[in-house]
Amino acid sequence: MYGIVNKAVEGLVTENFGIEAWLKIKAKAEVQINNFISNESYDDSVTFKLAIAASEVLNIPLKDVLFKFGEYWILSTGVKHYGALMQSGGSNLKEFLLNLPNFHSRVMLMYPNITPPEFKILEIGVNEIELHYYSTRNGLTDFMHGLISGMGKMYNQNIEIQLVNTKSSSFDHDEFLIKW
Amino acid sequence: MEIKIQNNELDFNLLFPFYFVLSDTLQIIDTGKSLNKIWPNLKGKNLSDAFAFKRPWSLKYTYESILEYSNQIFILNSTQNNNIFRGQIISLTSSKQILFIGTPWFVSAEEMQSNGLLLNDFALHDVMPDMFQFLKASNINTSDIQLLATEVKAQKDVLQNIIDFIPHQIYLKDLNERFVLVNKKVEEIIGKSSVDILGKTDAEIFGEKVRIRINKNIVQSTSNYYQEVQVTNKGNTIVNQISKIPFEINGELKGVLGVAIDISEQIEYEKKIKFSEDKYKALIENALDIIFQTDSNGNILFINSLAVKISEYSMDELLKMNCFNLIRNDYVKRAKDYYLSKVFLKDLIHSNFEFPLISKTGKEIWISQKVQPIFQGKKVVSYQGVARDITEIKLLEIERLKTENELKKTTSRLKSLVENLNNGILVEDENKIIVSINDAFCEIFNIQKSPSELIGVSSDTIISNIKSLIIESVCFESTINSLIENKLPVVEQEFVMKSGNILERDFMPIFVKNEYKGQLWSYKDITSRKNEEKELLAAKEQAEASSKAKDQFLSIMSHEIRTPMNAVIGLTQLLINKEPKNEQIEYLKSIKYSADNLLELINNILDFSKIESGNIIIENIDFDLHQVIERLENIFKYQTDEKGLRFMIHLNHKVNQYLKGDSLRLNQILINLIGNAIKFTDYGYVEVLIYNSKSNSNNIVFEVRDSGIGIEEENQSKIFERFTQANSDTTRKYGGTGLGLAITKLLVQLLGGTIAIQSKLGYGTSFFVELPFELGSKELVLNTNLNEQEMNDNLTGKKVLLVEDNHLNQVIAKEFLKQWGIEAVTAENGQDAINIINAGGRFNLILMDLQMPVMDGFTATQHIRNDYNGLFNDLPIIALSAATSSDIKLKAKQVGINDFVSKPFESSVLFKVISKYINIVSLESQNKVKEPIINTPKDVVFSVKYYEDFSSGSKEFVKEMVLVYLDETPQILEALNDAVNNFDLIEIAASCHKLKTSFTMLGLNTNDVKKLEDLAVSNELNMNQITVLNSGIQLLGQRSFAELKDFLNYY
Repeated sequence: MYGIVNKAVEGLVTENFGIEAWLKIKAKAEVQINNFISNESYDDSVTFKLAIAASEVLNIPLKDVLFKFGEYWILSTGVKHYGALMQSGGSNLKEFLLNLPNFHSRVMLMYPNITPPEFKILEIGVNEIELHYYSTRNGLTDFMHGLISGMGKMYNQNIEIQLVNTKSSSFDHDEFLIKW
Repeated sequence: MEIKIQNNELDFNLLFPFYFVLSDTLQIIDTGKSLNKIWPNLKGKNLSDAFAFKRPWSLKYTYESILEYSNQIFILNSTQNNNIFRGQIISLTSSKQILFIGTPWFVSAEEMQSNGLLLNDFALHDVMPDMFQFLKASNINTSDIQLLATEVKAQKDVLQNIIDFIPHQIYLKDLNERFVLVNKKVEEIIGKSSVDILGKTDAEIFGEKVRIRINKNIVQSTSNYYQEVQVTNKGNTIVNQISKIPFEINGELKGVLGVAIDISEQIEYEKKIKFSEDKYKALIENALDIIFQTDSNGNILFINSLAVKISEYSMDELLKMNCFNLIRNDYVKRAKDYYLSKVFLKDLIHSNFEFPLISKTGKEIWISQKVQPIFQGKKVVSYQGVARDITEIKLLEIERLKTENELKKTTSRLKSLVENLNNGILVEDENKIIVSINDAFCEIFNIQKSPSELIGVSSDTIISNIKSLIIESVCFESTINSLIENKLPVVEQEFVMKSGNILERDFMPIFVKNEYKGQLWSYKDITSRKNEEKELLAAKEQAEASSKAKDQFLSIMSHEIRTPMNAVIGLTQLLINKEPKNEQIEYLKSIKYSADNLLELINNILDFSKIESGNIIIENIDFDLHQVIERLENIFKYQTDEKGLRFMIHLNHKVNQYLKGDSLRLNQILINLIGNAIKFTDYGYVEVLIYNSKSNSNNIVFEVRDSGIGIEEENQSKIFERFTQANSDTTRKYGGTGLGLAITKLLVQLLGGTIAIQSKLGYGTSFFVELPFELGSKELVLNTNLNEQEMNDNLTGKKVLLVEDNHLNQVIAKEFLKQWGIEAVTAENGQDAINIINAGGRFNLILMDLQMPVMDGFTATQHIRNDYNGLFNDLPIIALSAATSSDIKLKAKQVGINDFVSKPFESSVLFKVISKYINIVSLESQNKVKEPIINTPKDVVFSVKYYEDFSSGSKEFVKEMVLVYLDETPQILEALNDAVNNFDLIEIAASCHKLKTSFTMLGLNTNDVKKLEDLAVSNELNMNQITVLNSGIQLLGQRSFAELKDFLNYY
């Protein structure tokens, strides 16, 4: 993952729990990198170790950590740092969600080491969308959940998120049903 | 707008939502949906109203001109909001229109958003929105890097601060040895700021080499340690300890990190420490005391080398020892008790124990030792101590205590001595301060103070008092001063006091261990002694005068009385020998007895006076004790037999036979004692026991004991006094002069011996005479003392010249000589004797009177010895004289007289002397003799008794044997003579052996033959004696031939 992801973890922890918590987590995770460079690719394990360590240090279930991280990724990293770029994704949630596949497709070429997830958005009704989340990584379902929640919050839209299907041996992706 | 591709109508807005179409009049006739969103109302406007050409700016606003740039990128500026439109033109030739396709150029999503556009306003293939993403990422990156750079800078500042804080030079050099990083210390030492240092090499900075590596041996693969000398900007030289490690980034060598630590001070400190350590070590090693450390049990942990020297154990041995092993056994317990008590009292620090240490070779060394405990917490873990050799002090102390003790004793004894002495004693120290003074001193010099008042006072205070009493006071004082100056003892100085009293002074300087400590003065009033001495001297002078008169009287008396006494005794003896009538015999015997007694009395008186006046010479010559005993036996055998007494002389076998001393005096002593014993013993025995003294190995005890009348105890001490006998009856009953034992005692004392008596009245008496003798030489005795008995046989036929002026004496002597078979020729005086010799008279011996008219004996002897070229040097000359003083004897010896017989002579004494000397020369040896006149004696030298006994009186056999003898013996004698002339000892011995047998068979005297044989066998080269003996043998042989031939005629 690119350094920006790890920076986001750092931001999430330090903003909510302070720098000490972050140093503890880093020590626990045995991560000795002082400053993550956003545009630099780091091994996925770094992010996972940080997440697991954060769960242990902060005494928060990993599931919650990943969910919070998803929300943080949209609301803090996305909005704060990519504000206009995010907003250009759509004038409303639906638009944004519909643009989600293209959004990642455009990013992909720009970052040669990125392994972006893939989305398939099915418009079920006027206020209802099916989001199919495909990823080569495992264990980020809760993160995705947090991301969707974050998107809702970004557009000030109360949404209902339902994990319809979970990636398993017989099902190759996660499927969310989003209603508002 | 609809377009057809492959006969398919397509919505152009999906492909290029930002297009517009120009007419040939350059009017915008159509616009795409997204273009309309950003720039509404462009339809119907002239191109130039809507856009300005930014590129190509060279074209004309004409249809044709624009078409010419159809292969170029067009960048248009919106006249509405200055936004940029980027794209290209396509000529729609058939409709004479121009199609613009492109996309608006934004540099950020925000710009796009502010122009009211969203992502989906762009065709999906359009990458313009992607560029926003890219630019955004780039911005974030830049800010990330700026953040990082700030952080790095901060970290670098921290690092710089840290390394600046470190007080050693720290630097980083790149691979070209250029400084990349230095700390403040480097700047300080080099004296330049980092700006001038960084990027430069040492050489560029210093221009010359100021770092000198001083050791290179500590080189490792990854790092480098060494020391260098560096000159600082102040010109000081410092020594750095350099550590260098390679500096790598991501495994790539980038340079070297160096740390230079200034160890100059450390080196200096180490030097000081080393110096101090060396000094400390030297101090300990060269200490004059033993310094040591032991563990808590006394096992030696450390000890300096002085201990090795003193104890003689090696360092290794000492380090394996317990300190108590070194202490003398009897001191070990004492030492342990002492230290235990000190430890118990926690007063070890004040301990000082003295003990004898026993070295490896057993030497004893006195040690004084101080010990101190070393604590670890409250526990004693070891002891350290200092021990000193105090042997010398100790010995001195022991010596001093001894001396002090003795001194105390001496002083107190001396004090009481001084106090009680009659002499006036004054003891002063070296400063003339009175140390001791007694009452007698104060009394003599009339000093009005008590001795105790004077002690500690200078003696000068009493000198004037003393001087005032002395006649020659100035002289008195000056002698005192000179005595003190000379410091030599001077005694018996005399001074006369004004009172007339005489003082005797002794001066004794006092030295203690060769150091002058003062003096002792002793004054004694000797006035009365002086007076006594004067009286004594006068008495002595008187006594000496009368003694001299007595001596003269005795001397004259003895000569005048003894000469006629000699005649009386001699003639009486001759008359007795002439077969007188029986009644005459009794008278003659009485005369003889009375005369003998009178002579003995006179002799004893003379002896005593001689001994008393010191006119007696003690001889010291070698003699044979057996001969002395033999003589005594001979002398007393007759008397004891006559009295019926048992007479024995027992000689202990351990007593040496040959002694050196005065045998004549010994003889005299024993004769006196034995004679006395016989005199006072009527029955029983007289015995002489001779044995070595138990108390002194050099002394011999002669015990003469008898079973006689004995002496009462109260009289035993008196018997040695002169003219004293045990009681008055004794003289009456036994006769005697009462001088015998007094003389004996004097003689014993003269010989250095003692005499003692043991007696019981009625049981007998024992006299013990103990005399010192040296060990004598057998050879000397043998050479000078020829056996008397043997000589006796040889007197016969000898010729003697009797020189005597007194006719009576001539008659007596001639008669005795005749009896012994000696032919005597008489000379009236010395001159007469010389005349006889000159007339050819030859003699075996001369008897010479000393006091004669015409020529005395001394002169005559001198002539005989000196006037004949030594011809008569060996001729024995025996003095006969009534004068027996030692002067005369000495003079006689000096002129060449061999021996001395005093007149009146005892026949036995004369016999002995003649026997001793008569065989020394033969008449033949006096070779100027024409023909010696030998009167054949009536006696013959041979005896045929042996052959007669052997043959039971067969005359034929005897004759036959004599013939054989006469046939064989001359040859043997001739062979002996040849052997003697050739000095062939073997042949001499062989001939003598044959002769011995032949002579013995015929009863001839074999003494000479035996003696000669012995001499030859013992290899003694005594030429003179051999010649003499041979002469005797030859003579005897010749005589036997003549006599035997004569014998054969009448047998």
